[in-house]
Amino acid sequence: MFITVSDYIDVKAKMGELGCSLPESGLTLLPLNLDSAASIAELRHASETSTVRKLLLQERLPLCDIVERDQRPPYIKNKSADLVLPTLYLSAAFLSQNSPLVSVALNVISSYIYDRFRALKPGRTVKFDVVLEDRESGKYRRIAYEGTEEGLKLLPASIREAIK
Amino acid sequence: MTPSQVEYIQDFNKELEQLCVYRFITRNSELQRTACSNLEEMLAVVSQDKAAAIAEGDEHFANVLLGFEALLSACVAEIRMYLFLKEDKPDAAWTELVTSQDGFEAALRADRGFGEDIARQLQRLQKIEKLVFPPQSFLSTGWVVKDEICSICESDYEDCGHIKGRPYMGQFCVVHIRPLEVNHVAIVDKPASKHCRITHMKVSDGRENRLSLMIEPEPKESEDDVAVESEGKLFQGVVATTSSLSDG
Repeated sequence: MFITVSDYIDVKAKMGELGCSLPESGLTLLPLNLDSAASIAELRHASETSTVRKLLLQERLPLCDIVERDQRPPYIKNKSADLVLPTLYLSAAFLSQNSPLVSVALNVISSYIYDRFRALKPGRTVKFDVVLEDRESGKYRRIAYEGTEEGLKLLPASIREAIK
Repeated sequence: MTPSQVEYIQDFNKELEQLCVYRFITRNSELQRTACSNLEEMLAVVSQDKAAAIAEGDEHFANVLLGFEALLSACVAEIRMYLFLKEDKPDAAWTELVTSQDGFEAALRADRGFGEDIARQLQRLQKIEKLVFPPQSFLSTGWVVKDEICSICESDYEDCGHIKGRPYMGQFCVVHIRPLEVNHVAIVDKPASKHCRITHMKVSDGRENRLSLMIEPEPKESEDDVAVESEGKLFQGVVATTSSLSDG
């Protein structure tokens, strides 16, 4: 299990370049290849995106799409045992106004992973990235998690640390 | 749960326990075949009872019976694995092993009442996998998918309220995918399906079976088979099964 924190591309600029919208008021699920895609057509979502999207909406969490329904990117379905979740984007505005909702979102995602892994063969891992906007520096940080569902408990602390 | 449902579960457990004694390789093959027939009869009864529970709108009991179906299928597959091993058919035995593991996993998902004992059965099968079969090279296919259809409501999975892998009124939610393209095929340690694996290595006079090490003649091409080159050797394997276009 490991968590790595690194700089990420300027999400706002990239969204503008691609012609996507980036609502500040809610949680956003970013495509896996946002940093490398040259157009909306090239964007690819993680295999679990539609499920995570539904789970967050069922908890009435504010979720914003980056493109219109008919432009929604295809998914990469790897027939591997590992669970690849979408990248969760947290804008500075959302973090400052709705930080309790971040915990709710992470709990929803953790519970889903726990349910999935409860019935699955051992040794499976989850990959989950969170991208944060730092209001003061205007920079973006990516917290990348890869490990078992147990280790996900450490993610909220890493997010808090990255926000500081 | 009603008293009659509790009694049903107790009777089921008792009957299953009596047939589980055949889940050992040393048991007589004829007795094992009879046990498989009995388990399949139980399965038919459970499926009928599940249909009745669904008709009555009893979702909890329908899901319990869904778990029973999965358990029975798992037990049949395990006994068949022993039969195939004794018949010198290791590939068929492997298929049954994986089917059995999948059945126990499904039972765990069907209802929270299926707990530690099922987890122990899964561990047991994992030990059998490691001790009886040689290490396998598994294959994973990456698809680019645009459309996902929910098996429960048959609508776009993005728009419905069902969550894949969860039971709904005696059925698991499965997502049927419509791939746009194959993104890649990779050798992985942890595949989504252990049915997808390298089965043969090409040799000068045919192909070597990775389980038996027997040299076999080249078969007619199968749509599911793929040739993979690794370290200068050519391998054949299964990259997709009918369930590969489903998720959950």
